[in-house]
Amino acid sequence: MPMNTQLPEWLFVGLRTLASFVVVVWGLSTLLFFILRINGDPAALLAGPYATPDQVGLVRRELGLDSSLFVQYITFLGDTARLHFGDSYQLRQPALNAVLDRVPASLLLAFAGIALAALIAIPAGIYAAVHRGSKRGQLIVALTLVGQSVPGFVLGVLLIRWFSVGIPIFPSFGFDGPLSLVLPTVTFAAFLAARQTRLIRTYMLEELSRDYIMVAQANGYGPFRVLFKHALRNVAIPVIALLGIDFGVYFGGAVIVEVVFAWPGIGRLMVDGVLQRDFPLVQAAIFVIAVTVFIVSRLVDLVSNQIDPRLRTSA
Amino acid sequence: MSTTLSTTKPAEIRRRREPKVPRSNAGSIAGIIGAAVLAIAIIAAVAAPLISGFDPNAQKLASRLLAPFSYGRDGLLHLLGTDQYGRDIFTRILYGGRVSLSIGLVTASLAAVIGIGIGTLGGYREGKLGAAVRGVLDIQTAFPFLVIAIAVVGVIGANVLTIIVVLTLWTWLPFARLSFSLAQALKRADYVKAARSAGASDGWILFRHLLPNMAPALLVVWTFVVAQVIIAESGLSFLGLGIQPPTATWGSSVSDGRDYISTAWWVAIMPGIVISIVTLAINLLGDALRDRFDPQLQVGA
Repeated sequence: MPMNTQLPEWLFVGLRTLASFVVVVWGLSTLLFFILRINGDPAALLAGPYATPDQVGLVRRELGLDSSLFVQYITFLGDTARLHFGDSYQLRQPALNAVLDRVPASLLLAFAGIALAALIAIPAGIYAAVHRGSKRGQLIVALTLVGQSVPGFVLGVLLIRWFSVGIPIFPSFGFDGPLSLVLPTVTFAAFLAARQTRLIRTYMLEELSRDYIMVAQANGYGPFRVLFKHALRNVAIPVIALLGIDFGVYFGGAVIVEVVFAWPGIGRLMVDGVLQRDFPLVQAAIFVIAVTVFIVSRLVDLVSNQIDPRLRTSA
Repeated sequence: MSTTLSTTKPAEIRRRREPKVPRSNAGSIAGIIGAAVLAIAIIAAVAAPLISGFDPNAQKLASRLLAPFSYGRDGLLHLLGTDQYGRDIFTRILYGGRVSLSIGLVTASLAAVIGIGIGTLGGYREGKLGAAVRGVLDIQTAFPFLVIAIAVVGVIGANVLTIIVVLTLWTWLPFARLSFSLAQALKRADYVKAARSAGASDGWILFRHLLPNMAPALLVVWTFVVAQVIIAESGLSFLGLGIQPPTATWGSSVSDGRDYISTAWWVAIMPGIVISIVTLAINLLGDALRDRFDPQLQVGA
């Protein structure tokens, strides 16, 4: 509980969140800055294999790569703070704009995937908990284990083989109308659904053995009311909280899904940037991804605190 | 053992009751199958030259894209067919297993040593050290690690060492988190208090009392981490950011085969199936170990 002489609690929590945000962004930027300069000369790469040393020097000066590492670092931190990531070497446009152009496609895939996963995981998890020990309940648990074991890129390639090549229903790459969303969404949702189903089942089993469930049943409430109104609400809290914690991991999975299906999102842009040594593009992409992951995980924190007052941090 | 672990969890973890699941041995059978498949995979990778007579990198352009169970121009049987350079897919899967399995086992073990060390010290000492460890763990949670791994490995250059280091920086977290909360809880256990009042040193308490009691739960985590690392490593290889060609890796084989998915599906699908089976085997083993040691454990659930 906040003391009277101290800051109000919401301000304290807000400041602490801001501080950890700054630390995350600074740590990430520093890591990237040094790693991106450990080896390889971007100026030589950009100028091309037939460039004269003079031409390489010109490119190097243009990009500020000729000053000392320390000066580069300070300049870089200042630029990051002002969201100046420079122009993408390949695309010849501001890197941040190129990345932000790809945000809608990535968010579309992420939300479609999470929604589909929830549609599968909630009923499957509840069923597996209620019918624990039954053949079907065990089948669901076994399927979740398979879902967690098949890597996204393997599932993606399998789906392309079956539904783009075998029976040509869905396009195998690119973003062209709602049908092209189907295979990437299914691939992304499979892993998520498997994990969420297991979580919902575990927490549901725990809730169902609690006294208040017995009281509700003794009051004569039907099984649906007991399950959905009483048990599911309590199950939702840890499941949502873990969704927030795992969001960064899911983003890694989404990168691979985007590459498999040539989806025009941030992830594929970043992988292209890495393969082309396009530093500004990689930095801007990682910055945007890290900020997104941070905001989402804090929002999820906030939501679960609102649902469950017991989780609120008392400074 | 399992009761010790489940009853001494820290206060903020909500109290759980034993779900009344009828005990069956279906789980342990699945675990034995998982262990057997993993053992076969490891033996096959180690003994690759004895199992297959083919050179994994030998190109035979006359025998390109042969279907599984077909014979090459030289009359030799290609069990799982050949790829676009006429290389034997079965042989490349055997040799690819060396990369994935060794990176998986080494990374998970390295991460375990680091994570258990830092987590146990933080949880046991608490105070400023504990707060610092907890702070690092909290901040790392918000890091999109695989995304950073892609950038780091891609830029530094993909070799075994880089991949192991980057994946260790990601996977020490679950070990640290679990050992932090276990150590924090176990130091308040009666037998630890008894040992301390009998004059036991911190080192004695850590190595004779805490770590042995933490070991089963940490072994379960280790198993799941091996599976995660194998998936991550093959994912990096798939993106072209793993061990570079011509070395055979499972991920890069799937990626190579993508271009031939409509004409020669086996080039991509065969290594993909192998990755999935090996990962599934490890996850089955982990599940069985968890059920055996501590059904309440939330790792990998």
